Amino acid sequence: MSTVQANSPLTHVDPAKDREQQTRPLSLKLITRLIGYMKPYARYRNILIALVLMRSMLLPTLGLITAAILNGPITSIAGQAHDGMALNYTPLWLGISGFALLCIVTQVSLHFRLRIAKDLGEWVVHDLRNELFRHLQRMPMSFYDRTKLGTILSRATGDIEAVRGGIEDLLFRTLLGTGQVVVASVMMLWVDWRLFVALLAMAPVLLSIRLYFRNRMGIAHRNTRESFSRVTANLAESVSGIRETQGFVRQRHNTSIFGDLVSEHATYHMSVAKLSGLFGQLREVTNQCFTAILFLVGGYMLLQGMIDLDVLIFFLFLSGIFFTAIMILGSLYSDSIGVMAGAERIFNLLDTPPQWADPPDAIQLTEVRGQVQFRNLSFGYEAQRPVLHDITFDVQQGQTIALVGHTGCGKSSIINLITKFYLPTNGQLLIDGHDIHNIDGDSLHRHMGIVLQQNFLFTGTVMDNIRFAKPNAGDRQVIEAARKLGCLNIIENLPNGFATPVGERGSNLSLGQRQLVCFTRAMLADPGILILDEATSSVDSMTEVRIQHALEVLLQGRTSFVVAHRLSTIRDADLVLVLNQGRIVERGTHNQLLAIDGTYSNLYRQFISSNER
Amino acid sequence: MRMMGLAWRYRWRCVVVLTLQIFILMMQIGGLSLTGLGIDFFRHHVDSGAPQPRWWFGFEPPVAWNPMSLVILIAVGILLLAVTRSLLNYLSLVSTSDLIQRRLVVELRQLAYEKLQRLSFHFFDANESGSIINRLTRDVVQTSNFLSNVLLGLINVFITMTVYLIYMLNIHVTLTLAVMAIFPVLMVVTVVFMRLVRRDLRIFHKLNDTMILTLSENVQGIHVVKGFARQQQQINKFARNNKAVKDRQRRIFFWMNLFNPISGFMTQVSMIIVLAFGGYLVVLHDTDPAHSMGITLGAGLFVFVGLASQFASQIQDLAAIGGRAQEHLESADRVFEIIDMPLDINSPSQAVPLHKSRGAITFEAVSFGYKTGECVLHDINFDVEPGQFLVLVGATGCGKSTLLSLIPRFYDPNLGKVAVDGIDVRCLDLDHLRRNVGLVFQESFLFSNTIASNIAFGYPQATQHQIEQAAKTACAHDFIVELPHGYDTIIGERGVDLSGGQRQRLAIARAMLLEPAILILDDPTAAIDPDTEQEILTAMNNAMKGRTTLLVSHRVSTCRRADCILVLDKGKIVQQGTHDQLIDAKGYYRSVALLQQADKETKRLLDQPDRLMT
Repeated sequence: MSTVQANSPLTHVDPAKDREQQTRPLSLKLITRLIGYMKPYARYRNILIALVLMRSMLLPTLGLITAAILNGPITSIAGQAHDGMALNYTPLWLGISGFALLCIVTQVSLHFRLRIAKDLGEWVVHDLRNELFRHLQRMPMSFYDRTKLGTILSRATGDIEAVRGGIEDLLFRTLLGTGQVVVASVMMLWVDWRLFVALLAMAPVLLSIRLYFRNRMGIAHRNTRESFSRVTANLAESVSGIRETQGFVRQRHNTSIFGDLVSEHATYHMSVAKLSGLFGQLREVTNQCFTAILFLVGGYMLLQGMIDLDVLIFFLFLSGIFFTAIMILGSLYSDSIGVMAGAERIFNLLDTPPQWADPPDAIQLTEVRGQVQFRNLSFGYEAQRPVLHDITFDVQQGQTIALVGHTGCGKSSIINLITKFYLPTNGQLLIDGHDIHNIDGDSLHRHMGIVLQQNFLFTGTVMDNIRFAKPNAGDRQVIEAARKLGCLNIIENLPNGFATPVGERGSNLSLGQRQLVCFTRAMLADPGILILDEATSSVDSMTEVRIQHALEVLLQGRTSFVVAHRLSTIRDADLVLVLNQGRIVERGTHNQLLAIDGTYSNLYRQFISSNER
Repeated sequence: MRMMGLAWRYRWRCVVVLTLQIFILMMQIGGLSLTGLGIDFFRHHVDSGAPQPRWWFGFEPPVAWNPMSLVILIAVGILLLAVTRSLLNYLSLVSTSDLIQRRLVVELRQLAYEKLQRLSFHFFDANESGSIINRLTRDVVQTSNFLSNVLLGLINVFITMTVYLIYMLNIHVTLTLAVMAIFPVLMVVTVVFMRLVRRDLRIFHKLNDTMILTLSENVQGIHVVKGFARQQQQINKFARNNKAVKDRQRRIFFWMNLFNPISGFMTQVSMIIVLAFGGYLVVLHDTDPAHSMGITLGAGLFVFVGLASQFASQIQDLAAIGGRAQEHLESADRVFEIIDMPLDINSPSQAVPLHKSRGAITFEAVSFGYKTGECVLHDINFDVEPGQFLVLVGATGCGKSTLLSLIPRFYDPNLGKVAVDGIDVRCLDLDHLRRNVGLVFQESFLFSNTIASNIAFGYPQATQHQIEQAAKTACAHDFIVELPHGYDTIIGERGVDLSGGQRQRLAIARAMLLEPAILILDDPTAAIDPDTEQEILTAMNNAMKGRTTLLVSHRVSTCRRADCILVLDKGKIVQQGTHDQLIDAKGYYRSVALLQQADKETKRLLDQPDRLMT
């Protein structure tokens, strides 16, 4: 019966649940689509391809020349010396000048090849990010209900970086690697095909080592990643819950939990280090093996008189280039599956069509008078589960409507429909006589002021946040809006007044202060329709006293929808709608509803009793 | 300096790593020379006019030996050296990462975390959580890498370069000097480039953070963005951020891609020198093997080419280390700032134990400000007797929460004193004090853990029975058992989203488990859906029984039952008394109370008139 919590960790994280597919096999469709993003920069793309092809020839040639100088002119001069001939240095100087010239060409082309590749990658990434952001802005509210912030952020960071790598590196590395392998092979074949065949026989060894390690490294990396995410999750909650930790004296306990997590992570990290160390060294050893084998086979052939010394020297240089290129090609596949996964996730997001969009010929509202009609309207966030049934009511310009009912009765859904954050499933919603389907959402929002219970402030100053409602408003207009609301002195009393910075989720301001900024923001918008969804819930009564009058100013002359539990606002409403399980069960003014002594009276009585018991 | 101290503690491991490095170096040079020797051997064999290969250690292969067996000997030698070198390399890699990952990183993280847990809230007020997390993750790794990358790296590069240099000088002095001529220039060029790029990199990181912030705020505040039809402005803002990032990035690319070819070319210039001058020297040697200036093709020139290119890469490593050192040191600063930060709130050395407080609280002329010069609380005086119920009322930002946070010593007052049971809290054992204070905040933080673990947060040894008892007091038991896994349900997992009211009741249960003498409730209903407020009020009533309670509230109904009400305004107590006393006095309290009362007409309609007021 008695369970002891002493060994329980601080946080439970199951990275496996959030595990996204890290790999995706090569897909021609994805590749062509990615390449398509280079289209606006086609000129650069073509130059780059030309450069890459050129370089794939340059590098083996450079090796060839080095070998040739070592062997050709130098030995031949020496040979001349033995034969007592006059020394002719010309070939040596010629060779060296050629080498120098080629070096310059190589480096200049390297500069442009790298620069254009990086630029191309950056351009594509830049365009993709903009496209992503624009796409996100078009998505309706329901998308944001379903999608976690972290998911969206990782699209714009990790996945984008993967794509960048794919464009600027993988694509051109493939070309370069292939080119080098081909050119080096041709050169070696031309010099001596037998030695080349011997060399070729070694390539599979390299590739199989790589394959073997790829799988094991994949698992080790995943373990490390997951143990690290446990460390960071624990850390994040330790910081967020620091008041609780100190207040409940948990420091020592938490420290030991954290210590365990960190050691566990270190162990996984070590296994990755060991594996990759082993892999790197094994690769090194096999490379050396090749040199040794080349030596043996080449030496044998040399001693047998089958080849000359220059062939051997030449092979020693070129085989280095050949195997480097082979390794590059060998790692391509494993590198590219990460890129493919990133690209696919980004494209999946970009390809998710908005569930709905404004029709192309939507009505642009230049002003909103504030006439709102609900006609037999029903609505559900999911088609099978309606949350509003058969809602019908009329609101005249300038009226205040109070929405009352228990949590989950559909109050917020009505608000979500008026704001066109969602579309009704059945029935009609008319604003100023226009069906909401045909109204341009943005033009509607420009004439609407919305204050929600948990309102959001952006990083910036208080002034910036208020101005969000009307970017072209001057400082004076902002101050005037605050004055009308009666919260001018509260804002001016902040450490830096209107210039007070609002930090991480508005943490420099108290709940109430945050809400006042949101009020002022709505005031500045001077909307035709005003929405207050539990807007005063977190403003304390003291502050509410001050803004009570201002709220009246704010409500005056505008159609207002108020979801509130404060008596004052409801009492003065022109129409109170009492909702229960998605239906309007009572409607009328405060006094009328009290007179019929139904649901409203009960709710009201409950409220008063909790206040005045 | 702190870094040197750390390195000193691990000095033996460092010595091991460095010794390994020296052996590796020897193997590397050995392999190279053997290859060179092989070339000389072949050359001699093919062209008997070419000079004799110089064998090692004065070894002369018997003439009777089959040339092929000599070839095999050389090949096996190369291979053996390579295998040994790889083995040593592996050992060195593993022992370095063992030192860094398993010891340094773990130790630094634990030290920093332990300190973090004890730091006062001034630190958490001043630093965003993201930055704190970064210090314990990225910065700690960077700091540890300082040891391997910078300290060990530098020593290693110097040893390597010295050995190469000696070896090259040994082959040919003039040739070495000719080749070296280019390296100081390469060094300077590298350093200049690193400087140039580092500044841009820093700006780039800042720009990138701004861009991500724009995106994440846009998603978090999507209601506001859509509600005010600001999508286009947001798109423009993001595009501006995005472009700034792109431009900066391209600038960095430009410099980097200028640098790479230039440094590459310089290395090649040294190669040209080697080929030209060295080639000449080989010819000299060939024509007259006794010539003092001559070198052989294999053991001389070929080895030299290899060494010179290795040397160049060491120079570049050196410059890169210099560039990184700054970054590492900046990270180290951030880590040690936490580890070395003095604890401004700590148990005194001769702490007075407080096992079971009576629950008496006294504020004597207390003044407090978060920053010097600022005054959030001003000359606060009041007494609370054991078991009394005190309510704090006041407008947003008047200092209510601040006042409460002085009792468990989240902050210390600038002037005056706070006393519990008549003893200044600064003299009490800090852990004892805090165990006697139960806390429920406006927005209580629950950990992503089981319900049971969250309730047992302050007392992890609690039995299931104790946990359930606490939950029952907080009116939480009923809803908990209806959750999919009851007390073992993990909060925040898919589908288990607790309502604000449920979360607050868990917070109350968490405080109850400690059986605290003092209960502090900082406006626990503020962020709650009004419908569920009633349940919390009941939980609060249960919790308050038999404890000294300090509550921030706006509810007149709650104030009515208080033994004393303090009305705060701008950090001062402006009114003090019971509900009945204050309702008659003109002031804030009265206006708030009136706002919450039903008007006469309403009362008449509700048909239960004066009963409410009594």
